[in-house]
Amino acid sequence: MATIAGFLDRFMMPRTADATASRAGHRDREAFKLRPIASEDVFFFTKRVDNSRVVRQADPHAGRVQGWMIAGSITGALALVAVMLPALTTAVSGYKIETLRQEKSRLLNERASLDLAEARFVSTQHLQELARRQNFIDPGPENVVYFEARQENTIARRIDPVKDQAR
Amino acid sequence: MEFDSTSRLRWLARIVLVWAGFIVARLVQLQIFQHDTYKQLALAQQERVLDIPAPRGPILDRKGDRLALSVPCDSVCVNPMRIPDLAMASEILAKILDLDQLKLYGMLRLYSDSRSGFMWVKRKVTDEEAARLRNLKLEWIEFRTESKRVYAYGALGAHVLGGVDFEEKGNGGVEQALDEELTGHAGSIRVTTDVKQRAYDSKLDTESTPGKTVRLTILARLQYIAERELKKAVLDHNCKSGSLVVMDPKTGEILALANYPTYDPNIRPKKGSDPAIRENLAVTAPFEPGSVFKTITLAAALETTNLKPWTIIPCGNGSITLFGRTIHDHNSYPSLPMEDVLARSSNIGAINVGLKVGDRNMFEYVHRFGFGKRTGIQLPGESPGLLRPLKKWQKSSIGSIAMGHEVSVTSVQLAQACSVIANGGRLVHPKIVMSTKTDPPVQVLRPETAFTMKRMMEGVVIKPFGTGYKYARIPGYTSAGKTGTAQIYDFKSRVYTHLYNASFMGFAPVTDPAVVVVVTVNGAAGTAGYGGPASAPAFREVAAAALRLLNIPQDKPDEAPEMTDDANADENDVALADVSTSVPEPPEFSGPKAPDFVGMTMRDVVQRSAGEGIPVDFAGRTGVVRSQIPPAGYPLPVGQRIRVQLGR
Repeated sequence: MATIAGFLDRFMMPRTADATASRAGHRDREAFKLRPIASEDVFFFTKRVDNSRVVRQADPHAGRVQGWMIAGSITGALALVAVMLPALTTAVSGYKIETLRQEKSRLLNERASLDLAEARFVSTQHLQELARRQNFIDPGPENVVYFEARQENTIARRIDPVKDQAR
Repeated sequence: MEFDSTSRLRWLARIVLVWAGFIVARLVQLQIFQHDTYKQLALAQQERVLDIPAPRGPILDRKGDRLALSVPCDSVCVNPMRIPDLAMASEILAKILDLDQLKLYGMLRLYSDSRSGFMWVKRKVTDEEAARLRNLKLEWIEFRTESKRVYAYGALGAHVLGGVDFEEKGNGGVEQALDEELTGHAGSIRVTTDVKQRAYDSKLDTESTPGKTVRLTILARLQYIAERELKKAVLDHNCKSGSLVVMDPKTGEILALANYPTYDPNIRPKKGSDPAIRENLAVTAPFEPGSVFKTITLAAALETTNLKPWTIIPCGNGSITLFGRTIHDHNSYPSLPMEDVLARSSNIGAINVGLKVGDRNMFEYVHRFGFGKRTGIQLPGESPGLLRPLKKWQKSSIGSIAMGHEVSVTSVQLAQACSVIANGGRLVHPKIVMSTKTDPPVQVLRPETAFTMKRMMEGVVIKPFGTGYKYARIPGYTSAGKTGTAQIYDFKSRVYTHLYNASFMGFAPVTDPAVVVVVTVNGAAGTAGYGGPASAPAFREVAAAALRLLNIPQDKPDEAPEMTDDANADENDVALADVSTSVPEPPEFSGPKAPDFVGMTMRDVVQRSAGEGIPVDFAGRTGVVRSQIPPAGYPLPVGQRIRVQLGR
C-alpha cells in the first residue's frame, strides 16, 4: 500500500527480527500462489446518513471569537498593506519616472529637429529666396533713414547728411 | 505489526526536517556562497546601461542664428541571424538605403555564416529613409539613435565652420580649432527593467556634459552678401579663386570671411573630389599683395622720414633701374606728390619712397603691421606669410617690397594691417570666436600718421584719377582704400605670368571706420583684371551692405536725385520731429566743436585737424581758408566733417 502509514510501517518493521523471518518464510511458502489482483479486496459502498435532525450546540463564545478573527484579519491585512505600500508606491513612481525620462529624451530629440527646421527656415538663403519671390531688394543708402534722439529724448530727429553738413 | 500514529508523526517530522535542512543548505549555497555569481546574472538580466547623449555644441553667428548644430538621427542595423531570407533582405535594404545590393548581400552572408548577431547596414540615414524602413515593420530591422552634424545654412561660411568626420570630430575650420570645447561627453545611466523590459528604476552612473556653444563674430547676413559678391567678382573676371574678409577695425572681430570656390559641409567629400575647394584661402594661402602694400611703404615713410603727403616724389617717367634691374611703371609720370603716388599707384614713386625709408625701417614697419607672423585667428592652418629676414634681403629687395613683391601675405593679414590705419595706428588681432580674449591693441603708428594715411587712402577713392575712383565709392558713405595688382609668379617656369592677384583693401566710413574689407581674386587677366575693376566693386557692395546691416549712419550726401516739393512732403512725414518750419537752433552739445580754420594755410589746417582728429574736406588747393562749413564753434557730432574753402 502506498500510504504514508504503510511507508512508515516499512521503516519500523525491521526493528523485530521475528517479524522479518516470519514474513520471509511466509513469502517463500506462498511463492507459488497467484498474486492478488490489485484492489480486488476494496469495495465501495455508500450509506445515507440523515443529519437533518442534528443541531449544533450553541457556543456562547463563538461570536466573540469570530469578531476577534475578523478584526485580527483586517488589522493584519492593513498592517500588510501599510508595510508594502511604500515599496508599491516606489515601484509605481519608478515606472512613472522612467516613462517621463524617456518622454524627456524624446522631446529633446524633437526639439533638436525643430531647431534645425527653424534654422533652415530663417537661413539667409531661404530668406533671400522669399525676398526674390516677393521682388524685395536690399535698400540703397539713400533709402535708409536714421533717427537720432533729441536732447530732451522726447522726439526723434532725422539725420540728414545734406542738411547737417550745410548747417 | 502496527505502529501508533505518534511514531509515524515523529518520522514525518524528521523527514520534513531533513528536507528543510536540504533547502536551507541549498539557500545558503545560492545566496551566500554563490551570491556574487547569481547577482551578476540577475543584473545582466534586469539591468541595462544606457548612454545619455551629449550633443556637440552648436555654432552660432554673432546674432545667435544657428549655423551648425547636432541633431539625433537613425542608424540602421540588423541581426543577420534573425533574417529569414538574406537575398530578399539585401534587395529591400539596398533599394531604400541606396546601397550596392551585391555588396550588402555579401556582407550579410559573411556575418550570418560567422554567426554574428549584429551588423551596421547604414549609419546616419536620412529621415525619409528611416521612415520608409519603419513603414515596412520588419522585426529584423533595428534602429539606433546617433547624432548628426547639420549645417543649416548649407554652404554659407563653409570655410569658417569647417566640418566634422563620421565620429563628429572636427576636421576643418572652427569645428577643428575648437573641437575640444564643442565635443560633448556622453554620460551613462543604469536602468532596471521588469520582465517586459519596462524600466522602473534608474541610477545615474556618469553625468553627460553637452558640448559648449560657440558664438562666432560672423554676421550670417553679411557673410551671405560677401560670398555672393566674391563669387560674382571671381566669375565675372574668369578668375580661379578669391577670398574676402570683412573686419571690425576697432575690435578685430571678423564679420565675414568668404572664399571661392566653396563647398557644402553637409555633403561628405567624395573620392576624387578636389580638396582645394576646402582650403580656407583667406587664412592659409599667402600671395604677393602688389600695390596694396604701398600703404605700408608710405606709412613707414611718414613715420621715419620727413616726407609729407605733398612732397614731390620723382617717378622717373615710368621706369627706374635699380641695382641693374629695370622696373617699369604702368603709366609714366615725371614726378608726383606722395599722396598721388598712392592714388595713382605709381610703382616708381613707391620704390623711391621705399628707398628713402631704407631696408631696416621698411622691415621694421612691415613687421609692425603684422606681416611675416600669424595673426592668431582661431582657424587651423594659418599661414604666417613670407617676410624674409633682413639679412636675406637683396639690394633690390627694398624696391620690390615697396610695391608689394618679394613678400607674401594672407587676406586676414591685409585686413589686420588695414585696421591699423583705420583705427588710429593700433594693431588689433583678428578674432572669429566672440568669447576669445585677444592681446590688447598695440600702437604701431602715430595717430597722426594713421590719420594722414586715411586721407591719402581716401584720395585713391575720391580723386578722379585714383585707381579706386570708379569702383570703390560707396553712395552715402566716405570710403578709403588701395587697389593692388600683383603678377602671379609661376614657380615651374620661374617667371611672372600675365595673370594677376587683384586686390582691394579699404574701409568705411573714413572718419570713424566701422568696417575694413579686403577682397582678393586670383588669376585675373587683362586690364579688367586689375585690382580696381576686379576687386573694388565687391568692396563697394560688401562695405555698403555691412554699413547698412551695422546701422552706421551715412556720413556724406548720397548721389540721390534732388527732392521735389512732394518729396519734401514725404520727408516731413518721415521726420516727425521737424514740426517747426524754422531752422532749429543747434542743440546743447558737450562734445567737440568746430575749430576756426579761417585764414589758415592748408598745411596748418592739416596739422591742426590731424591733432584734434577732425576730418576735413578741402575745396581748392592753394591759398588760405576763406570759409568753412560748419562755422567755428559749431558742435561736431560723430562723423561730422568740416569743409574748408581755400583761396588766394
